[in-house]
Amino acid sequence: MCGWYSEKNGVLFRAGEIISKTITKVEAEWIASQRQLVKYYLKKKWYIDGMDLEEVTQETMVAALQSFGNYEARNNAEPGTFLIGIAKNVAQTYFRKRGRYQRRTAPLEFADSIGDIFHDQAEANELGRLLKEKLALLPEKYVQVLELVFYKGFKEGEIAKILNLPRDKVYNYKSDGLKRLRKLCKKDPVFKSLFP
Amino acid sequence: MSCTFRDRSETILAYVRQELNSEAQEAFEEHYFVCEECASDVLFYEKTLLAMQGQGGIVFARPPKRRHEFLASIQHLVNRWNGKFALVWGEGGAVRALAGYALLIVFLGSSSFWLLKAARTSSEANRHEVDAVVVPSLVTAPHDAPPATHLDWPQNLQLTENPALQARLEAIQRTYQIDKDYQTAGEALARVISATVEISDDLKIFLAVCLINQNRSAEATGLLKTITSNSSSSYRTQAENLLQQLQKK
Repeated sequence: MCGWYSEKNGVLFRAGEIISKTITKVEAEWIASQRQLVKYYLKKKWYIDGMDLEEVTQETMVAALQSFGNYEARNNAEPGTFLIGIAKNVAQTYFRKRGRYQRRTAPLEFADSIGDIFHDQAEANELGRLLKEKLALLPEKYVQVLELVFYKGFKEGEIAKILNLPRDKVYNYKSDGLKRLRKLCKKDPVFKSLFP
Repeated sequence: MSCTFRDRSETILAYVRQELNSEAQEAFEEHYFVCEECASDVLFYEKTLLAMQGQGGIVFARPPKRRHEFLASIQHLVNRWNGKFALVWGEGGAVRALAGYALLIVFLGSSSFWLLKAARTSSEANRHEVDAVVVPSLVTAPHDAPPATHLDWPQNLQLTENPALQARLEAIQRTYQIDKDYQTAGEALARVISATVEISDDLKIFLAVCLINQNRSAEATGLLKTITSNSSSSYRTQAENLLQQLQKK
């Protein structure tokens, strides 16, 4: 995971340059393991895409490696809180440089997620096929409600009318359906490769 | 479960769907960066909901009702009926009951044999009729599947420069060409056509094929007529052939 840095006598290097004298290899590996989450956060919250997203993620990771030891020493804070603070700062600097400021207010779109959330279309297809297998194990009503909400884009009130169900029942089908789906997927080792 | 975040599942779902207010959103972001369990669930729900949105044709495609399910439902009915029968016959002893079951099974077996035979004969007759009117570029699905009209969606059909739209079209193409799920492909095509006017002409022919396969002949005819009336359409000939085929039916 951390192929781009090396450690010698407790000193961390990147391409020959000293990154941090206090950070341990375990800490550096933890930071590197959070890369996907940082990327997701930047995309989800700050509307950063494509090459810019790669660049800002990389800057966040480097900044985190450089300042991790100091931050922990001063604040004794959770490492995740520190990392999200760094990501926020880097994103704000990015926007300041470009003279604009943008936060996402709508959910991510599928077409927009290829290349960032999904590595490529093939990964999305694979997940689609796996989900189909798992949905086949759920009762039909759950699948119907999930289809109407997340694929066809109906509101819960509309679905209640279509399926002739009380609105709270529709909400329960949606919420429980997703929870059951998550449970089924957690049991399946194939999903571990998609959600490392 | 080790995480004790309040209303955990609801919060994750609301976060993914961008339904939290900014304070709740920030609080949850700070949480999932320190909670491995929540981080993993956030990514799971995000990817799952995106897959449901973009790959719904695959995710929600209903498998055709399998033979064993059909047989199981028949068995279930027989069991129920036998249960009632057994109550009436119970006093007469096991031999009579067994004879009754045997008669019932013979009756059901022979009637299902004759029904299947009749259905096969009529489907073969239909297939011969359809084969007779099919044009070279149109392929009719053989054997057990109901006769389906299909027009090949060309590989690497590049209709747009927009990569997101192209990816969407490729997903629809797979649903249409590989899965042969005409209903889902038709719905997705209708959405794309209504949203993107400039490429709609080349897609209408595939939507028409989807409609024909859903027995929505009137709508398909209307659509095919708009294609044939457009002299610049690249699928004019195919549309005319399909129209003729529909009229003969």
